[in-house]
Amino acid sequence: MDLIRHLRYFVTVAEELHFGRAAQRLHMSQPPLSQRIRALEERAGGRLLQRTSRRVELTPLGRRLLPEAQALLAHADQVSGLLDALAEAELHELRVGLPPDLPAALVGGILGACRAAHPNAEIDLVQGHPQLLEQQLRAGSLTLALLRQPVAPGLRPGTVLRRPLGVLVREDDPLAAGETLELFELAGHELVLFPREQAPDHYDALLADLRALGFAPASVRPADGLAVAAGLVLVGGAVALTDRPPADAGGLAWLGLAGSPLWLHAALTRGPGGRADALDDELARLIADADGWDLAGAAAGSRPGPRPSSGLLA
Amino acid sequence: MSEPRSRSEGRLRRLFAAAGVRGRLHACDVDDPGRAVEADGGLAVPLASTFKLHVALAVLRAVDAGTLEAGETLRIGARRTAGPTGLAAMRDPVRMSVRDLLYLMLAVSDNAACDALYDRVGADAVGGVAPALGLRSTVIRGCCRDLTRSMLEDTGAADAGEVFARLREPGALDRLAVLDPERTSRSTPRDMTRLLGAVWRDEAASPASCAELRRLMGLQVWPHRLSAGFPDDEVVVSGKTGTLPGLRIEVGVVETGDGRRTAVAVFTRSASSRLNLPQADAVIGTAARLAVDALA
Repeated sequence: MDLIRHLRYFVTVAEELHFGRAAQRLHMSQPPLSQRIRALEERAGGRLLQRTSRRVELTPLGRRLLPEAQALLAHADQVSGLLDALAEAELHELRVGLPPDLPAALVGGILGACRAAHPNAEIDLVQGHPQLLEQQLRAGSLTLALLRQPVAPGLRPGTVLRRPLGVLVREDDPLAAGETLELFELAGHELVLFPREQAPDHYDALLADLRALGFAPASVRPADGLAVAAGLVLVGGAVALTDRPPADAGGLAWLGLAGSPLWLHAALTRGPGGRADALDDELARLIADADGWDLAGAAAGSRPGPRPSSGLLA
Repeated sequence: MSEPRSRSEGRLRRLFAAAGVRGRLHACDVDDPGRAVEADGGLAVPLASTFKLHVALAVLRAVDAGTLEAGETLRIGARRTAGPTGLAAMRDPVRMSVRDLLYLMLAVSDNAACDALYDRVGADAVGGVAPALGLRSTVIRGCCRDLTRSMLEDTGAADAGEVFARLREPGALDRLAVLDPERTSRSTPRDMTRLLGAVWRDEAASPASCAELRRLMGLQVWPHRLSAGFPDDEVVVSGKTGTLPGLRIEVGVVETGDGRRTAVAVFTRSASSRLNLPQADAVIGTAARLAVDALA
């Protein structure tokens, strides 16, 4: 028996004198709560609580146990707080994974924020492809990483950030004449996109969206990194779908899509046992401000409007 | 499976992939069910609104048994199951006959009409249709309000409108029980064409009741799925759609000018969580057409 946990259940019921309210406070349902109280009563060798149809009362046995239980729980909370403080002080290594192609100024800003939040920790920034970062996050060799969403179950994404996708075209392509593009105008071009294995779910969703919105590329060529994508576009006949232009965009134009129909989603993500702290939110805000990302939660103020034919259970 | 049948399976897979969906299909000749085409037609799928066919059959079988009058009227109060069409979208209390409720449930997938009928005949009668027809892979769990409640719980939303907002969060679809055949009403495309075959051969209920169900399925208003694959004026398409976030379904019978009657069940899951994906709707018709042509 986990004595502290069982005592916490008992004390909560004793304070509320109501199983329903106690269960609510403990964020659990009533049957397991009753079960745990019964287990504790078995251990105590008698009833702790008298349940009548209307109310719950402490028995003499329960009244004797209550002050001792409260004292023990208060002490346990103290020790738990101490453990948190120790863990915080002992955080000596912070390894943060970032995607390639982030601007240097932003990488510097992230490093600065990490240092300010954990002055005693050794901070390591690791750049890599999504699948590599995800692997390291699962293995525990990264503390947190900025990962494209959705990620496979098991990881813990924080606030979702989003950036509109745009199109990289050759400067002398007639498409480069306007300020924005419609997807259907890309017809006849080969599409350059990140390799599917880097983020399979995102890749599949993007291609489905492209087709639904009127651009069915005859062929899709994978490009590992912005420079490769730029090279493929410069050679001719292709356009690339990216969330930013390459650092050196000579001979190229980067155009937004009219109405921003396509987005890249990302989130600062912790590993399976990881726990987000204030740093995660601070980094999310920093990345949003410095690098033109939307905090998707705030941007989702507009509600999607289902039509009768696509509504629930049509 | 014969050589040309397996070729059509490969074409179906490519067709689904090109529309950005994972598709499961079973199609067979109503009058010779051994002639069939499929792509993963035996795999479990969530039923969404296509479970309304089981509600319809439970009602019609009760009428056949004399335990329910088709003209009996039911009261739909102001508090009712919500939905985008029919009584579910209306506000005021009404009384309506069982047979007209059947019409609304099938023609526009009216959730309030469905739950009123479900409550009238009971969960056991609805759940009993599949075993009575020998559909061993089909299980019905609850009615429309159960599906809605499950989605509110899984997304933590307060109302249906907020469900859609929450589902925009990446990965949200993976948490929905209504999309998991293990946790919601389920069947297989093959069981669904077997059910349709029984209706079209007058085996699922009395001939009069089967004829009524065929009439009502022919009055379905949606043009964007199964119908979209058959623009020919001499083709009769009768069907029932099923729609949940990321899930698009239609099951029905296609009666072609050459006298053939083909039962088709198409279930698709889209990679995109967009609500409106015309291409993902249309591929249901294109895939059905491919299957009907392959069986000619």
